[in-house]
Amino acid sequence: MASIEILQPTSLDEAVSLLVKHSEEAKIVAGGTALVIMLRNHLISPSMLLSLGRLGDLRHIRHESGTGLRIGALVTLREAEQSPLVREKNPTLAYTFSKVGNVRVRNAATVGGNISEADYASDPPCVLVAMRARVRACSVRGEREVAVRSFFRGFYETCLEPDEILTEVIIPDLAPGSSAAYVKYVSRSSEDRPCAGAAAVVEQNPDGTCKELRVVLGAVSEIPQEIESAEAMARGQRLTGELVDEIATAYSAAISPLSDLRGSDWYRKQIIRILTRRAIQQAMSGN
Amino acid sequence: MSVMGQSVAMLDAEERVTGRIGYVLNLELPGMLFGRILRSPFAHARLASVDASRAEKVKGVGAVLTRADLAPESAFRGRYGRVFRDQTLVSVNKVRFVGEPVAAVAAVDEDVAEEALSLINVEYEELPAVFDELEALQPGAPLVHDPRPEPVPAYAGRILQDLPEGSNICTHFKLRRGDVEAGFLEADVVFEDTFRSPAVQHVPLEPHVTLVQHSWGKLTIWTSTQMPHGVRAQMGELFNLPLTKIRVIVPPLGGGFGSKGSLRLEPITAFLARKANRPVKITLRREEEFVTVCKHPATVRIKTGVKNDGTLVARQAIAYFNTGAYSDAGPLVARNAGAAMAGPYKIPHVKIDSFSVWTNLVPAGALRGFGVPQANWAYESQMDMIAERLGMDPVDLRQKNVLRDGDLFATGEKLEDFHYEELLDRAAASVSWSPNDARWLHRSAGANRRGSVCCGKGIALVIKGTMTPSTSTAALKLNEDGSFNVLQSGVEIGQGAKTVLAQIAADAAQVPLHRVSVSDPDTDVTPYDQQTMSSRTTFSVGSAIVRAAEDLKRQLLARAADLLEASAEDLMIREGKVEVQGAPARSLSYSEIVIRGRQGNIIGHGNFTTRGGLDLETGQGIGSVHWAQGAIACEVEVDTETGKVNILQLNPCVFAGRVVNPRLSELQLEGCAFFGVGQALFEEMVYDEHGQVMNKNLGDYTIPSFEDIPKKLKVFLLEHEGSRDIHGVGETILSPVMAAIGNAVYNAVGVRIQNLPITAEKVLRGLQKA
Repeated sequence: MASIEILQPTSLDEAVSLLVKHSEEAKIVAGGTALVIMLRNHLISPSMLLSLGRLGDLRHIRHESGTGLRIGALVTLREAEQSPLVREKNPTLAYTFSKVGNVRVRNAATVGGNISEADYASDPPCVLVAMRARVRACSVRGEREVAVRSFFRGFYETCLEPDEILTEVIIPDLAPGSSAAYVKYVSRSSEDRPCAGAAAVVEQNPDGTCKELRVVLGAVSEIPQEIESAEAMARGQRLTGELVDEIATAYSAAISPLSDLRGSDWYRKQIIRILTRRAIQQAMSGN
Repeated sequence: MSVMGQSVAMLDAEERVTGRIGYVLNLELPGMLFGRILRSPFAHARLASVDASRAEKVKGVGAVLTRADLAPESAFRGRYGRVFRDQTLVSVNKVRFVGEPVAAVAAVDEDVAEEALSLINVEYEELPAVFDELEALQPGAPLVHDPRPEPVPAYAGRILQDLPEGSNICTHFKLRRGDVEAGFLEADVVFEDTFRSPAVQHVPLEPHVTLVQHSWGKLTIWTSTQMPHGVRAQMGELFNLPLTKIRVIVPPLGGGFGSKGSLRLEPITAFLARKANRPVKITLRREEEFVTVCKHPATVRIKTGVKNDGTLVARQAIAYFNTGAYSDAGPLVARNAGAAMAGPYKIPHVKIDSFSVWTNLVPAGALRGFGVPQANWAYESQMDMIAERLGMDPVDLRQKNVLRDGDLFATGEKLEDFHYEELLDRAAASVSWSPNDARWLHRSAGANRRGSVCCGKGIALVIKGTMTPSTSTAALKLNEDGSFNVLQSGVEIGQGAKTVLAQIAADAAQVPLHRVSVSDPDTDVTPYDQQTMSSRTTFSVGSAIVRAAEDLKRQLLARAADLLEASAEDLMIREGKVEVQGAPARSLSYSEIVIRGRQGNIIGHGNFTTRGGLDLETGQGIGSVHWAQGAIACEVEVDTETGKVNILQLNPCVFAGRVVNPRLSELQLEGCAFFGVGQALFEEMVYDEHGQVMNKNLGDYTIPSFEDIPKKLKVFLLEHEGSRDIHGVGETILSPVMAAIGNAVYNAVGVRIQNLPITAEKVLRGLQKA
């Protein structure tokens, strides 16, 4: 490993000004669980690392009524998973963080790092999309909010500009009458990354019909997959077993999955159908 | 009370859990350099040129090794190998697999070494490559070795010599018993099936690591090896040095599972240390482990003839063990598997042909079970297929055919102390097996289904030999305070060898356990042991220690007779003392005998050698000094929507003869059974079309996690009352795990997988076909 200069800003202002100065040669590091592997495998070779480790102010977990949960980018996955506030306000999200890697990884990896890495085989992204979460990005030019739905662009690619740092993720509370679920499927070791993951949010009308359904599949394609035409099939309908099966089949038909060591495209098509159904059913039975 | 049979905790438990074990990984010497290896990116290529001149000029580089150092005109030829001398320190004329060492550098740190490696200019001329063991045997297949390499002298008479040039067949093991064709004519039904196993990794926590110091013409080698004396002997030949000039020191290993059972990093590290005249250490990275050694991919074609009543009458098997680019232990693996391929069954007519085959894959070597897992996957899967076709309970079918006392094995040896009936009953009872559990005997279809999940049970047996002939020696050194040093060369791999050997020594010398200290191997000091493999350490080194204690006791009696002015015949040894029979007041402690006799030390020597071997043309003879016997039962649930297999229980039962330490034996069996779960369900080295391993890290090649341990994993150790015979248990129960799970999956959902691993995707495909 060639020698790498480490920049350790102590404030966000300092961080963004260092980043704009070195955006060509620097990579941002937080928990380092993904970045160090990439370095070791020579997938990236930055001459500088911009560490966020000394930034004190991105470690918050707050809840604001009307806005929802606000989780700082440097909160570790383990902290987010164990936070009483996250567990109370959004148990499905807490559960999702608890399914990433193993406890050693979660103790180091951060929420912001997980999202910014944009690894396709990761648990949180599809859940955040389904929950209509937003991220805040900060640069010397100012701050902006981006919907997670439009954040992911491809393998390890996001819409972040080279001078931007992801600082926070905002997860709106589920609408009244809604419930959510995340179903992770591993095809190999229990500690494996997902072969597929499905997040579902079901909002029901008082009469028991479905007001809104969101289902997002993770780890089956470059970026999380949401099929709006299939979701629309649920609107105003009772989510019977048959309808859920139809929606699940529509998801399977609409997504062109990738093949990797966790499963072929053919296999993922089957799994998408099963997981879509299970996620919807689990969300419905959740409360 | 004797310490034998007691569940003594591992004597180094505290050092172990507090991180104080002196692994080679942690060892550093002043002035030490770090070595790195340049590896071939091609599976098969001629080396047009290797130019390291720029690397040598990098500041901080101590030595560079390329083929120029092995040139014919140099005194050092650099060819080695366990059975064939088919390996060189670095590639000379061509590379034969992706990952083969082409050059090496020692430098002040790994970064400088890496930089130097990047400056070595190698030109390759690519050659056609062959990866599959069956394609390698087709006419016109690229030849991996041409001409055939010479076997090492020790094996010249122990492997068939008349194999043709111009072939990728490395060795051919033959077993001939009865008349197999007549046997098939006698049979009512003949089954012919093919089973495949992929390459898998050992994944010891500690990678291969070697540190060598060269001083005054002597090489001192600290290395993570399972064969200290084997390393010394091979390094002696390779460097043309007397054995006194090579010292191999082996602290406890962080796991091995067979991967550390041949020369690995020692030659390159030693060469660099000698050339740089500074200590050099090489530690493999995980991705390098993947291209260093693996389990043999294998194709096994097995044909079995049975009578309608289930009696086995004939078996023919042709097995191809893909040993990769270099033979390593491949010939021995193919032989070991071949000798056991008849399984633990009485079959009058047997014909086995077991080949090791060179290809352009990563070299395959020993991996826990030594070929028997690949053989067992075939014959125990087929046993259930036979039972189904005959409409029999698979437990009954096995019970009908298992080997019993007095039967002859396929190798012709007469068997004693055989316990399959009881092992099979125990295994079946552990999962509450009933004939209904065989899918084809289900009285009520669907009774095993809950929602999308179906349950099934499966059983498999195994027979496995231990390396025969083999030799262990040991010395017991009695000190003047009455304590003992046990000098021996078995390697502590985490299996508890030193604890168990201390128990055996304390019992044999009749002293308390705390008076005994068992050495780690150090070839300058500790006597010969063949290797820590083949489940042999407790049995073989333990037996040598017992003999050393007998020798020591003879000497003690003779010395004591002088001091006590009594006849040696009137003396007896009791609790660390020699006393006159009938007059216990007239006694001397061990310590007093040493001091008053001015002995300094008294040293007892013990040698334990087993005899045997198989005829080259017929495979008849003594295959093993004793045969390890095991049964395993499991229960799985299969999600019929995803094909995913979840193991609910996995219960190993083995015959253990006399158990030295019940808890450590149980732990060995638990670990061994669980080790098989990954191989059964998902472990597989995946190669691309260029022969490159695609998943050479533990994120892409996953192993089971603690969360994958079955809820119930209950070990049963069958002890034979009064038996003095110790049976090793390190490997036995790995082999049948795969077939037991495969059989359980079949009983659950009716899908028969014949190519390991039993992935969720394969099961789902099977379900959709059905």
